[in-house]
Amino acid sequence: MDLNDKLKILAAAAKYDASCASSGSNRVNRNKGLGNATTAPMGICHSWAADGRCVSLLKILFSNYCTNDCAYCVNRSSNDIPRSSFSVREIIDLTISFYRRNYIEGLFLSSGVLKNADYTMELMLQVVKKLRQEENFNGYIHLKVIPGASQRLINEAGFYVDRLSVNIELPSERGLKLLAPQKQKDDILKPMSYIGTQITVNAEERQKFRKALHFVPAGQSTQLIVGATSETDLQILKLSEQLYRRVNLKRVYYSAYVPIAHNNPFLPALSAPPFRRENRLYQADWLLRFYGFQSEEILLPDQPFLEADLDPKTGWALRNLHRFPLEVNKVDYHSLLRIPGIGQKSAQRIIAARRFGSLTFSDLARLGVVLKRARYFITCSGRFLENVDNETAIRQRLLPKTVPKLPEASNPQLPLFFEPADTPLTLHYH
Amino acid sequence: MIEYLYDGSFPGLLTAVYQTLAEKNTDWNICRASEFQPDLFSQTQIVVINNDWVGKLVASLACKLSKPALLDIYYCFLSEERGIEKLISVFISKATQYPGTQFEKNCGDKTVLEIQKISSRVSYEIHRFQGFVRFRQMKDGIYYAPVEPNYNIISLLAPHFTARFADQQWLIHDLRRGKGIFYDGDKCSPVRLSEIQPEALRRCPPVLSGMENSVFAAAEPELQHLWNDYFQAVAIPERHNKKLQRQHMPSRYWKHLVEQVEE
Repeated sequence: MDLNDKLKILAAAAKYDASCASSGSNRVNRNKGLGNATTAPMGICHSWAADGRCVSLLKILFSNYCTNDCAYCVNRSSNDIPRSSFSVREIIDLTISFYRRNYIEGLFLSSGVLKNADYTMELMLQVVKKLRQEENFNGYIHLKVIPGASQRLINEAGFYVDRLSVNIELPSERGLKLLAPQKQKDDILKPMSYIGTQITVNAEERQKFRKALHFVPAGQSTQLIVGATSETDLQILKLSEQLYRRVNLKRVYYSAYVPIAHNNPFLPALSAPPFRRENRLYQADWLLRFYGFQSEEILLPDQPFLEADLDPKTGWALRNLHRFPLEVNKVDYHSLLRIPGIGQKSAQRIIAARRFGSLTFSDLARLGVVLKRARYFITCSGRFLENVDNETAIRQRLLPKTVPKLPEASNPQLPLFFEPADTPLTLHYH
Repeated sequence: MIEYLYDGSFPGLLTAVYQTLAEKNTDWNICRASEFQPDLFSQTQIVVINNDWVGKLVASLACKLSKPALLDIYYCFLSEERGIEKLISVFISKATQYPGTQFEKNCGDKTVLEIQKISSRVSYEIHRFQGFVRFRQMKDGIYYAPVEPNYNIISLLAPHFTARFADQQWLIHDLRRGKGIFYDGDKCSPVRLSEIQPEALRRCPPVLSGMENSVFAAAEPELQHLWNDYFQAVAIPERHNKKLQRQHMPSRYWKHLVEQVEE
């Protein structure tokens, strides 16, 4: 098979992984080598594919042969698709040639399971080590951990790559048993907490010894598939929250389940992937990470799904109308962040600008506040813009007037699954 | 009305601003000499760069404004937008007259907001071009990238690419402005392209678009095909969303990409 065909197969096989970040590393160009992984606070996107997702890394599988038969996965062993594997040299040459032409920020390497986890991991580690040691390549490398790989290999890889990630994929143990019978819960969670612990240990080491090597400078991430199993949004958010707070996770990616298997009784028959739900989960995730929210505030046990038509912050504000209106010229940064229509940037601008005099509604609009939403929740020097103060009236005005554009597969509250959902995965410290 | 005509350089602009502040005229404008169109009612005054004045102005601004705000001024200058000289000098005069420091934080002020808006557009384009620059390897081994940015930003791309491609010679060519930055394997310097590059290099679309490719290194055509194949393979058909793609990557940037973006 020629290289073009291999690349097409192994890129298409990797495309369902949502991770695209290339930021957060501190790897600099050493000894006039190639590449530099320290960029501005944002990573760099080099292109955007026809689905609107950015291309920043050469995202490929080492191989799409796989011993596992996970029902949701396009590379499952029972799926009849063309298979191929790269050689170590081929991946190195592709990465270097693409990088030199400024097509990419670096390499994202994952793989199907060949023989066993450690065998696959060894091969991937070879690629990474050669890139760093022989090619003096200092670009960004994101390496997937194959579930079940030994700690020795994970630890070694962590000193060569910028980011490690283990994909949880299914947010509950029951989901795993149903759809990925060969994967054990511990194969996924143990490496994650191991990486989390190593990050902490390494941070202490680097404080003591200035020259100590940096273990995964850009941290670890994971991915959850949304809509392939019956978990609620609350369960998913709680899991993310634990991951952020307890195992040092940088990012959780959510990937709307794209129906790729049509004959599995355990998989839902969706007419379209739940993109809107994915989008709302990302919004809620941002609230957890940057806006000081707790998962219990965003969702209630008796209402465990995010609303399709309202963003989660507005939803929270409507349930907590007694906290509003807030006086924009007085309240602190954290309270500003809780107002629908005000983001981090506009909150910072408000704080800076109000030192020079009090702000009016038109000032706010110029600072980037979305008054369409904010107007119901704020006052400017005591003045209101709206006289509405009950939830139903505000809700009615904020709901989209037209039919929602994104097709939603099904209302998540309808029972797609008949067995009761079990408890979400929980994490334990070593 | 007095029209101050400057040479189009940044020191030239700062000299002009100093002059407007010192002369305290009420009705004035600053304009590039090359773009000036004389009319019946205005007087003109040619600005001659005065390094003492520039030094004084920069020193006083450095006390009044933060570093990012000074950079904002420079970015606005690089935007080359119509009327930007007037905006910059109004901003500078407001900042120097403001009794305290950090006038740039006053987002309630229209001039401040406008400066920030234009500056952020310029810095967004710098960020974009860190991604959109596409090098083609030429016969002589030099990696060459043609670009057509809206703003005059290639000098600001130099540190980024120098840190990244330290072991290869490369050249970024601003086709619109006829200038480039060239890294010779040791240091990066500005070049006027008409002088040093053969004509064949001046217009250099990707191999994919069918150009006769004798100017490229031997491996170049195949690599461009590989990249284009990769680019087409990563899109998920079920998520097809051309509008989103266009939003992130407006069509004016497609021309010099190597991958083929479809309408």
